[in-house]
Amino acid sequence: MEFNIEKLNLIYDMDKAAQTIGLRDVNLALSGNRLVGILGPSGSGKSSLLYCMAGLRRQTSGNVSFEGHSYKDMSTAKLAALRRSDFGFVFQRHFLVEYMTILDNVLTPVNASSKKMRDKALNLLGRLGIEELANKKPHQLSGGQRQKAAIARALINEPKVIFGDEPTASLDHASAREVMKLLDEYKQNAMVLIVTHDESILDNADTIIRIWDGAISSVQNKEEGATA
Amino acid sequence: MSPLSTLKFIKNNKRHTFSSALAIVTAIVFLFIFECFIESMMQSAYYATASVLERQIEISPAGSKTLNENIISGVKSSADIEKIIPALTQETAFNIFGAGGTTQVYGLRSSDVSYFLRQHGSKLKEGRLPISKDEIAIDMHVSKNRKLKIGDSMGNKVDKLDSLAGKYTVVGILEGIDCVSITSDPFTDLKNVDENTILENGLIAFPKPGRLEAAGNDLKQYSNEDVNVYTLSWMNSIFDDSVESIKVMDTIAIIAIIVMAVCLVCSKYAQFYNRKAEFGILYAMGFSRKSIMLRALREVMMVNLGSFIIGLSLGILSCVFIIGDLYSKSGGLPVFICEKAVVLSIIAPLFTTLFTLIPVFRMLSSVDPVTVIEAN
Ligand SMILES: Nc1ncnc2c1ncn2[C@@H]1O[C@H](COP(=O)(O)OP(=O)(O)OP(=O)(O)O)[C@@H](O)[C@H]1O
Ligand SMILES: [Mg+2]
Repeated sequence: MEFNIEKLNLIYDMDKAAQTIGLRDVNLALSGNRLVGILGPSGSGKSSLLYCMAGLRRQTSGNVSFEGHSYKDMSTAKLAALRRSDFGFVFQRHFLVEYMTILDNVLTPVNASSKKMRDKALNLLGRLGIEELANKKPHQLSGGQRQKAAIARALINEPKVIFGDEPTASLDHASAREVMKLLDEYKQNAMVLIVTHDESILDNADTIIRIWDGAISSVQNKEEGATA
Repeated sequence: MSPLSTLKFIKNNKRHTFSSALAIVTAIVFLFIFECFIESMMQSAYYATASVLERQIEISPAGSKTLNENIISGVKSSADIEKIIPALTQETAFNIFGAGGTTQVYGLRSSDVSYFLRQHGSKLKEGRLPISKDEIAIDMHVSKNRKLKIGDSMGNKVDKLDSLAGKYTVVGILEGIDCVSITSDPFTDLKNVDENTILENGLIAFPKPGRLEAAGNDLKQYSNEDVNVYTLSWMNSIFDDSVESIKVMDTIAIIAIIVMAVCLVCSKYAQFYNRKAEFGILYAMGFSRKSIMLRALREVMMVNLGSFIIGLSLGILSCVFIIGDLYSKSGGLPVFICEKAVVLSIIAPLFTTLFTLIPVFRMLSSVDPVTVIEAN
């Protein structure tokens, strides 16, 4: 698991008169299975950074590379394939498909229904404590339960990186802690990147990146302390 | 069933799938009944009055007049005519659903009967040919239409509304390519006169093979207020007039189908538009645009194809029951599958498929996952 970000710039509305700077000259190297928190005030560029790292937004200049593959050289389709094989996503909203059962929602990224996959999905739901809800529809679940289902969906393809953009923002405090605990557990297997402006949920973070006005203001590793 | 498969989608969205399928199925069934009804009406009316003229030309005097020498010698000398026979042509009622009308009854000399029937591919199905005075052999369709069996009587002395003069006893049922009914020889009183005197009452001219049209064009010259010349092209022009009003009905039907299709397309598009978040999130997960579009394509095609197949089967089935009941029982010619209905029922789902997919594809090619994720 290795991200290398060099001189990353993201400017919105390049083709319009009024432009907004999303990210400016971001340099960042991240490696290993760990929980990374990205902190910053609203509008500082946290989501922008995450989208660039996930290949959902193309940088204006500079480059992002994942495990030596440079995004600059990858087609949109290639980036999509990379997301499908190596990344998992949890957003502020669950984005479960309403007409599908929880089990089908979890199976969506792999689009499979084999016994093996179903068992795997049920196992994931079990670990998240919502196995008995597998055949329910999203609207029958509570907010916290839905977010857990979304986490199970993000984990089904055994991703190398999990991107979470404010995954706890729509949850009450107890649910938020529970969801963070689950994501924290998964850092044994993957790099977990969590965007938030609520520092209190990042107690267990191995690395904390602070963003201010589109630029990284500090990168703090737990064992090392702050490195500016 | 994998979660993104078409069957899974249909299973999860039964009500919506059912309502769009119902619209298409109803449209197809309606088209089928409508078109087959018109087609049955036309075919039955054509069989009853027109198809005889594919093989003969009739010339008869108007009212109580007679045909003059000139006409008779003129017809006799026409190069396109193979044979002429004297005939007293009358009509009798033949009413089918949607088209009230008549069919011809021919009074022929006994010696001409077998030639006449051969020309029209007609044979005795039951009973015998008329021999004695006031006997009649009727086409099987007339028998069905009028519910007449051997031994029954017909004519305006039995039923005032019938245009066939007198009272005739049915002695035979005929079956053939054309609808012909024949009475016993009406010319028995004219035994010892020359042929031309008999022909003055009216005649049927049979053209040489392949010369029907030429013969018709030739004999048309004798048509005037005292003389009626009935040819196929004259009959077709009468049918064309009714085709005009059918065209109006067709247009109304097609407009109804288009309105239905437009409504369906709009509701389908609205349904897809409501799923924008789903498509955006699939794209974020790493599904290619192509696979997302293919999934939409399969969903739309499956519903339309399924509705087409069900609609077609139900359409044919309801035609067999409704049209079959209306027309075959009354001696008409029921049509269960007509080309126009099939073509229109293919076009209707194709139209909805195409016009659903165009805007859906446009939406899918522009859906941006980040916009979907950030929207609230
Ligand atoms: N699609 C866009 N078009 C134009 N400007 C944008 C767009 N998306 C974000 N921006 C701008 O880019 C900057 C960074 O936005 P970003 O969404 O990355 O912030 P954020 O840190 O995630 O904020 P929040 O905590 O509110 O989610 C902001 O100034 C924002 O207004
Ligand atoms: Mg954000």
